[in-house]
Order: sequence, then C-alpha cells, then structure tokens
Amino acid sequence: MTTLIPNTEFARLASDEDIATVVTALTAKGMAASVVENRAEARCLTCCPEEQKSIQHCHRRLRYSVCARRSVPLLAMSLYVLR
Amino acid sequence: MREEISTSSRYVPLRPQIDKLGREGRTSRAGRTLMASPEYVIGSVHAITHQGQVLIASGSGSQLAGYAFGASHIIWVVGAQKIVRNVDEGLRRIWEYSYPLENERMHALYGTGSFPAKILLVEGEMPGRISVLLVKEALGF
Repeated sequence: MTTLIPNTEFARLASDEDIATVVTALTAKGMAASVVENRAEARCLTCCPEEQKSIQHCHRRLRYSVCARRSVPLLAMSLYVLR
Repeated sequence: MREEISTSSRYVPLRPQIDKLGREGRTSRAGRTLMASPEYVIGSVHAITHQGQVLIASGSGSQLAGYAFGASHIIWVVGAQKIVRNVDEGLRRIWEYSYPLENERMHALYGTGSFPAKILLVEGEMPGRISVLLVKEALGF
C-alpha cells in the first residue's frame, strides 16, 4: 500500500464570516442551511424526526433541549439512510 | 447516531438491510434500488464553496443517486473545515485531503483502497429537499 499524505491545508476550520457567506449562498441555491456550534447540537438535530422538516425551528428549541447539553460524539459521517 | 437511528422505533432504517445484503448483494438489482431512493438520507459532503456549490466524491457512487435525485429529503452534516473558495479548490480538497484519508480508512477496514471515481457537483435544488447543517467543528474528512 502506498501511503498518501493528506494536505492539511484543507483541515483548517473556516471563519465565521466564511460560514455566513456559505449559508447565504446555499440558501440562494435552494438549500436550507443552518449553523450549529458542535457535534452534539448536530446530533440532536439530525435525530429528531419531528424537527427535520424545520431545522430553524429545531435550532431554536435546542436552547431548551436536553439534547443540546449532551456531549455524545457524532459518529463518522458515512451514509445513514432512513425510510 | 447510527445506533440511535438503527434501534429507534421512529425510523425504518435501511442501513441494516443494506449491510445484510453483503458486498455482492449491494450491487444486485435489489441492492441498487434499496440504496437509490430512501425517504430520508443523512450524510455529509466533501466540500462546499463560497458560492454554495456542493461536491461529494465516492468510490462506488452508491450514495450519489440518492443525493442527486432519489432521496426525498437530504440532510448533510458538514464540518466547517470543508468550506472552500471555489470548485477548483473543492476538487483539490477531494484529491489532496479526503482521498488519502478515505483510502487509508478503506485499507484498514477492508484491506483494499478506494479513490474518488465519481464526483457529484450540486449547483442548486428545489427548495425543501436539501438541508445543510454546518458545524463549527472538524467532522469527518
């Protein structure tokens, strides 16, 4: 096996300003976009089916949610399929 | 998250059904159909540009049909390290960063490598189908 060295330039987190730019751009292209602080919040949002239709609504609810305070790590982002 | 989805009575998860098919079964007609059109799909992408273009790479392309059209609803959870300036930089990110790490992961799991044989570029979507959750942490690669 040949070892490939990843270019860590692409591991750097984007700035808040760049994130805001992307949210605006995604929205303009028809994709709903929200920002969360960490994986615990993301996990909560993606596992609450009743909120999936309104992520903004769920985001607001997070402030009062037990989920928001949990710190269970998000598993690797491989494919999760629901039906 | 996988366990939560797989064990919850609120979902009918496809992943266990897909796993049960095995590697050969996944490429059967039934396997392809199963993976191509879920009601919901949760996953991630490899790059999002400042212009809102989304790039997803895949060795087999198994998730790309659902992303492109088959899934009714898509939720992408994306770490903030995946934001790039433009499509060219997004492609560089795939080849220079995601590919080496995914190749290594596949070697560790299956003893065989992987490379981004197929790359989906999403330029836009009808409102209501795709939701992107940007996380201010590094998630995945």
